[in-house]
Amino acid sequence: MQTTNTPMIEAIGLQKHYGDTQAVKGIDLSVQPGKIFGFLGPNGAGKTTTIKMLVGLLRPSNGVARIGGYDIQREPIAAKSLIGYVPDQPYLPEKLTAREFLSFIGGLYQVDQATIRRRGEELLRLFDLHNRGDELVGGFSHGMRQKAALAGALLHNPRAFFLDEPTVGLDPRSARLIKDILREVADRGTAVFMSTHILEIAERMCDRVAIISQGQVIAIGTIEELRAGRSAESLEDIFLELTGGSEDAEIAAALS
Amino acid sequence: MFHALSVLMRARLQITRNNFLRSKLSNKIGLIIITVFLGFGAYGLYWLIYSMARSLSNPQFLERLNNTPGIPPQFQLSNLQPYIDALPSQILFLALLVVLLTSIGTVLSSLYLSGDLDMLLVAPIPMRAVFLFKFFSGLWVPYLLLFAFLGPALLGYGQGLGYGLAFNISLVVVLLLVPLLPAGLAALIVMMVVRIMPARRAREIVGVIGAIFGASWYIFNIFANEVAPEMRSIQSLEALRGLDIPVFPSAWAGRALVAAGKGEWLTLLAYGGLFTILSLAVFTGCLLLAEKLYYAGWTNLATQGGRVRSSRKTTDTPSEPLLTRLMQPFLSVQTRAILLKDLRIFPRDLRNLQQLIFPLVMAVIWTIQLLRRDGPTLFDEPTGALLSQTGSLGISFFVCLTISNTLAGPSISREGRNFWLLHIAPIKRIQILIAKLVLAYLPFPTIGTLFTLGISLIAQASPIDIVRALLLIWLAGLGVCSISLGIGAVFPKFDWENPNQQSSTRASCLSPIFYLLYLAVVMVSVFGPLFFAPMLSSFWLRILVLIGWLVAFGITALTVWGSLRLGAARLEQLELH
Repeated sequence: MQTTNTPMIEAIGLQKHYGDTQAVKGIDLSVQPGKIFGFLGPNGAGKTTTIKMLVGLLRPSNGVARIGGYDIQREPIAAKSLIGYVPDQPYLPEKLTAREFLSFIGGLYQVDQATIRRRGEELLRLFDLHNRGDELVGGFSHGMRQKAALAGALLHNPRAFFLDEPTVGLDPRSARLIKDILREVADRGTAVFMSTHILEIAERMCDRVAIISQGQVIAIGTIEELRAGRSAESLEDIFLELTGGSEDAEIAAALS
Repeated sequence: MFHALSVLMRARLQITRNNFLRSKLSNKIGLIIITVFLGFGAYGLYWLIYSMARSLSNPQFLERLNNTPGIPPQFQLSNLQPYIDALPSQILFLALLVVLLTSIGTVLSSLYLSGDLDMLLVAPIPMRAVFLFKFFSGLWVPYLLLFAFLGPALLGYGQGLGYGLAFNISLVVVLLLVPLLPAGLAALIVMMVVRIMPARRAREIVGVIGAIFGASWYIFNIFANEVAPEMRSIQSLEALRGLDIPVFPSAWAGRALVAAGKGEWLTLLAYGGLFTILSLAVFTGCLLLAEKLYYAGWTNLATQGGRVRSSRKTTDTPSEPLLTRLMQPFLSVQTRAILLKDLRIFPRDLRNLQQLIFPLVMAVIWTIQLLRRDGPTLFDEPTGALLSQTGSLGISFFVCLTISNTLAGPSISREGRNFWLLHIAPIKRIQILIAKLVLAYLPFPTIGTLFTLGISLIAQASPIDIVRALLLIWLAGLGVCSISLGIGAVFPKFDWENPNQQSSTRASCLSPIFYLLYLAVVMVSVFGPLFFAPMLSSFWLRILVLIGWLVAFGITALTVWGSLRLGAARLEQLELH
């Protein structure tokens, strides 16, 4: 059960094995309510696997994932009622309209009809979907589906909000909108856990970041903490230095 | 263009090879077994047709046929040769028709609904190369079937009649050309349709039309004897020979084959040339038009969603329909939300409606046939009455089961890639399964009741028989829906693209076995005591009947409980990668 100091999102020794392959080797991190946490890493580092363990889509091979103090494996209902999640590729029921989709999500999260109506319209208007609320989701572009998925994830006012590559496929205006929304959501006390490749976003938005490489967190802290004791100035430089990307940049420069 | 084609074909072969090499061992073994069966089937077909052709061409066969006792005069023939010569035309007519009917769907999927289209069409590859590659990619199944079945059959025909190498060579050429004409026409139709309608919607409509056509053909077959009994005579053979008249392209190909076999080179040149020119002309026309039409159709793919639903105030959240509101005291709000979602989605996908057409038509026809049966009235004898009642019960059950399978699909696999929404939601797994069970069971108390009542009243069944029939429908429906649900949850499949591939192989194989076991137990429990009626007093008979019903209820309750628990336990362990 949550107290005022309990992290909203907590990973303790999370591991995931697939046969002999260790996708995630032991992740320890926590996110306090009201903070935005950036989860960065190269492709195949284990970001999505970690997020999926935290939201309950995968079972950890070892370790514990807690949401609001509830172990997601032992108390899944209590933990999941606090979660909002938007995957990098949100598959949505194509034959539902956007409004019907929100009504469906509201039903799953036991949101009362009046709140579904009010909040659903607010979110549709916020994401500029209110004029297309009666169109089938199957006719939406990728960006619109992303926004519909975001609306669905925010409908029940989650206390822990997970986003996997939230800005991929969004136009700059929509990407900016997402950033503003995340900040507002965090300011209301929600813990936001976001994986992204776009380091500028992480640098500007995140209160703390973790960098994962080959299944392990190799750095964690605020941007200033990560900068301390390093020559690198930007998050991109820190990231490349830690994940070995700088050698690739040198090779690329030599080839050209 | 040829370089691009060779690159695409090489990539396709690599994909096929990798899919095979990296598939599970069971899939590899399955594919090898299917190939072996196909081979045996082709060989068997060859020998069958070969033997038939040799017999038919033997003059002594005709003499013995005409002298066989019992052969009516209208079946006696003076010469079989014209009918033998017409066979290739008839077979090729059927082949062309089948390829034409199936090509529209396959060409549509291949040209516009494959996942790599965006990549191919933006790459510096000539549009015609992409079209050619996709066109022939969609034809590999027709070609496989033609060479696996039609080829051996016609080869057996030719060799049975003593035809030589010219026939064999002509046969290969004809088989290569046969799909080009119908598939070319289909491609032209598809390219024009996609300019005005989203490809996915077009595919759904094609499916419905195909189902209506299949149902019509079935109805025609069933009632053909009643509509045209005089067709059962030698005139029917003459009517079939009509397919050999040189108006049909299939007749050109058929006559060319026969001419090649008989060494009639001018005839071969004439008819073979006509067929070749027509097939290649249609195909070439497609190819030339593809440059514009194909690209234009692809650019229209951006609009895939179909029409906007009927206008409503933009502040209106969709209200809950009466059906689910009536279930409020029995189902949680989350279960009702899932049920409502499934009920909304079902009629919007025409592919679901397509699956309903044929079974419903069959049910209506069987009902008509059952009620029109000649002889004593249906309920003269106890056993006859029981069998007749079982027949009408079977039809009701079949209709409800078909609708149930179409409505609910293979349990939670129907969710497909959307299952993550349910998996992360704060809802117990058993609540998800209950929603699916209610959806699957809906046809039984609704349509099943109406259907059973209708048939029973028309057949003037007694009230006790009606009550028994209704109870059985409701009970058996619950049992089989639970079995389908449980097995579907234990062996789920979420990565399907085509709704026809929703069910995993294990679920497809195990479900019928458990259906039969369960139904056998229930039927024996309910009907078994009735067979002891002559031996027992009415008191002990009633006791036995009551015990039978209690057993049936008990088995059903156990089946429902077991399926839900098993399914929920499996869903708890499920991971979505």
